[in-house]
Amino acid sequence: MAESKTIEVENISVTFAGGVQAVAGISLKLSVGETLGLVGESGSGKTTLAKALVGLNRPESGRVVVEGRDLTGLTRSDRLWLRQRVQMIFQDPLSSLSPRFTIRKLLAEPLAIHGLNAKERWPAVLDLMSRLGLAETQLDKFPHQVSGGQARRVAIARALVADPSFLIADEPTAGLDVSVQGELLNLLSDLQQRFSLGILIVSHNLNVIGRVTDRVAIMYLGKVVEEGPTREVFRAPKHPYTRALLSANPVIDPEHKRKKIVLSGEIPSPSKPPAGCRFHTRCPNVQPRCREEEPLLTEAENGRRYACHFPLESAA
Amino acid sequence: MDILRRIWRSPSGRIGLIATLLVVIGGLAAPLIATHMPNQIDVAARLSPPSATHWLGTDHLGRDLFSRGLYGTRIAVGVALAVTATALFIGILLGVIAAYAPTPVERIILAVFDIISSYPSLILALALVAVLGPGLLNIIILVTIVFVPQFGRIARAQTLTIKERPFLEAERALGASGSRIMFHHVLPNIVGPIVVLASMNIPVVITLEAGLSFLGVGIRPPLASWGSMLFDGFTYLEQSVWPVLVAGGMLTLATLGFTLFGEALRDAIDPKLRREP
Amino acid sequence: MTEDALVEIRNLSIDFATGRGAVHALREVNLSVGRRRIVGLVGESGSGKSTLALALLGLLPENTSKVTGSIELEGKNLLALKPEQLEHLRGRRIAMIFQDPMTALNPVFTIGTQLVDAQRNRHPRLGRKELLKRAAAMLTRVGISDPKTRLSAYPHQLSGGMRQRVMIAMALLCEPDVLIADEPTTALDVTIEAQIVDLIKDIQAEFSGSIIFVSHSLGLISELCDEVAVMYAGKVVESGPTRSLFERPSHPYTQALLACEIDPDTEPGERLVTIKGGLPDLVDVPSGCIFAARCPARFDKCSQEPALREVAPGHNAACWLV
Repeated sequence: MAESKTIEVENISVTFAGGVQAVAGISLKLSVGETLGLVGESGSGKTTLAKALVGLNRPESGRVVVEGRDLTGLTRSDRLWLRQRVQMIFQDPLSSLSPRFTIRKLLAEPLAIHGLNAKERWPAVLDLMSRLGLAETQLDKFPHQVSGGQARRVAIARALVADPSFLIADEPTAGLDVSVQGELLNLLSDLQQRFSLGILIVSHNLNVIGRVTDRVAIMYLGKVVEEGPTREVFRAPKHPYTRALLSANPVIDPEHKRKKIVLSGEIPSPSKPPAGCRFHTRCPNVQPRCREEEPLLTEAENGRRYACHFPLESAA
Repeated sequence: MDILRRIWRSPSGRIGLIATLLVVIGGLAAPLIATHMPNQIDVAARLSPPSATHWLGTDHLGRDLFSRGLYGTRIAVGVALAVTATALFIGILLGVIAAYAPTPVERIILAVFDIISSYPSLILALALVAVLGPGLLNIIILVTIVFVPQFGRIARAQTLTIKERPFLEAERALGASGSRIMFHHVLPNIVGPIVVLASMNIPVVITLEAGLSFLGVGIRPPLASWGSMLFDGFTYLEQSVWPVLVAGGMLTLATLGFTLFGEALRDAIDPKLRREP
Repeated sequence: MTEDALVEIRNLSIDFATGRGAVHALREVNLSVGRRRIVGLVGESGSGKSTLALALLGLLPENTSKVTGSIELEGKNLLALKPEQLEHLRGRRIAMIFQDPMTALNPVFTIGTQLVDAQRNRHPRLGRKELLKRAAAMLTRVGISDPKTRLSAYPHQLSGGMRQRVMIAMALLCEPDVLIADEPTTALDVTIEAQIVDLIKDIQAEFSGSIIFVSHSLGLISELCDEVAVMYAGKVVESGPTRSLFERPSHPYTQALLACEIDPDTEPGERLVTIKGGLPDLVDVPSGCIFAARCPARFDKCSQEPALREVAPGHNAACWLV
């Protein structure tokens, strides 16, 4: 089989102990050189899905295929291989760094884990560090001794040390001030070009997603409700939830020109999702059919997909 | 060392450190410092007060109290260290297993801990002596059993909190194996508080061993033990206070020293633990 | 300074004692808040916006080492009040909504009990029954359905959005003159955030007091506030009516912040704008303009500190280029 540099997720579901189905049948594809955005609010399952791609969550059904290799029934060496190909950076960088390791040890560890020659690879690590704007003087510090921004860079460096093809970034800009948020996003796009990475960005920040991703998938209660090229989805959303999300996103509007669509009600608990369309309890366009029949994710033009019985007409 | 400097900064820590060093050096150097053999009997000089030959006097068999006290230090501190180290090792092992094992295993381990610690330590020790019999090795074994649950519980609790910390998940995502995560990332983060507990535990073990020896079920004569010295001293208290004073004084110095040292160590390592009972 | 100012902050400076020396958290801040206005305080971390909010409440941390200037509420200087008098004021005339309602709600009491206690200061003569009735009515007003059951619920039984509504209800039950909202939606999902922002707008319509809305989000501020004060490193660098400020951002920091906001309509692939450098050291504050070190338009004059100067009516910026 020809090696395809992709991660293919085929209809996976992840259920936690206690019966909460956090991810309910999702299919996605991520290729190298591409940035995919995963958007959703709390309870949407976006982080759970991201972790399933790194093998931190075991799907109860469906397949994850990384570069042609099926991850179901992984052996130990498979898992090691996978974790070299697909790396993750976590939401809170400081707490994702082992507190009693110096930065030097933190950066050397991935090499040791993957049996790479540390001496040979060290110059590449130093190069990566300078690319990320980390000084060598930081090497002997502990994570809590560097700033939050630097801890974030260390976490990114660690993810890239073993040369992965895919990077999963969970809320990479959460808690950042706007003046440094751009810096981090620029950095990610530089790294993507340099190492031709496939990047999955999980975020609730639509501005970030809209700006840096090629394609976007919108999740609601464990399902993808809409997917497609980011620009098109943002310009002309098909799913009422996507439209509401985009509308709720605060943008600079001192003259209050924009009419917001404010959804009523709370996000239902993922432990008992509504029957029919999962969004019907909050959908402004709800019809009787939506309460009974679950809409399927259907293909549309331009590689778009959406799951709605009554998709929105394009404005154009 | 930074930690030692921080201990030295508090007055009680300084006293504790000095007392602990005195006791430990006294014990280690006992053969060099002691003026007499600890079991050397001199019936002619029995129950004599301090003098030039017997610095701290003699006991009812005319044995030199200063030398016996020093040798008693070896027993006391030796037993305390052996017990604490073994209990620490077994406790951490069981605690970590309990934290990671499936629920039934965890329940069994916790139940054993509960059973052991539901008895007052002296009563349990006495019961175990009845089974194992007295003697140095048996004392070490049974006192260890008494103290394992303490360490096990705190090791489990620490592991459970560490287990939820995101960096372990990050390590897994990086591909780290279970044993690497355990030895490189879990253990170094749980030993701090446990070692502090262990240092505070040493005086408790010393007292317990002295208590057992006092009751005649601990270290067997003629080995010098503060507990048995105290017991003998009490028998002859009306004739001389010196045996009781020497044994009691050394016991006090050692427990006080280790306690103050342990408290200062705790404060130095983790200021957050302060003000806990 | 406006005629009908409800709150008037004059030359407020606040220092905190640290191991390295005094941190000058706020330096000569002037701000006036008119009745029935929503004033936004915007700035990044370290700008002093939360310190300002706490100072208004008289809840400055213990290591506060110096407070000068004045905060006047209808002509009465809050800084000159005794702690008991301040306590009396909080919960009657000034109320606060926190970012994380869980830190402000007591986990061991029911929502009902806490809403009743919140009103005790305001209505000391009313009985528990009466106060509960008022609480239930207020819950309905902030959009909580089935208030009777919610009153007997504990905070952890509610969702984040609902807890924030309870906080708002609690603040409103005090019938305050000044309502301070410190990043009230930061922890919430966007669709819930939109609901809360709507709620705050509704409240303002029937509320005779003023709202001070602290946020790092220029978007939210622009949508919600009548006036804005932009803070940087303990100073107000620009302030004015929202429209004027967003149309004519005049301080280079305000301009830079606006440029950093990601506009989803620009081409992907373009470099995102950032502000180079970091916050100045607030222990050893550099002389001259506080933003000079990071300012792209810096020139000779910036070594002296610029005062706030008028750009448009009511719109001031502290920059030599104005």
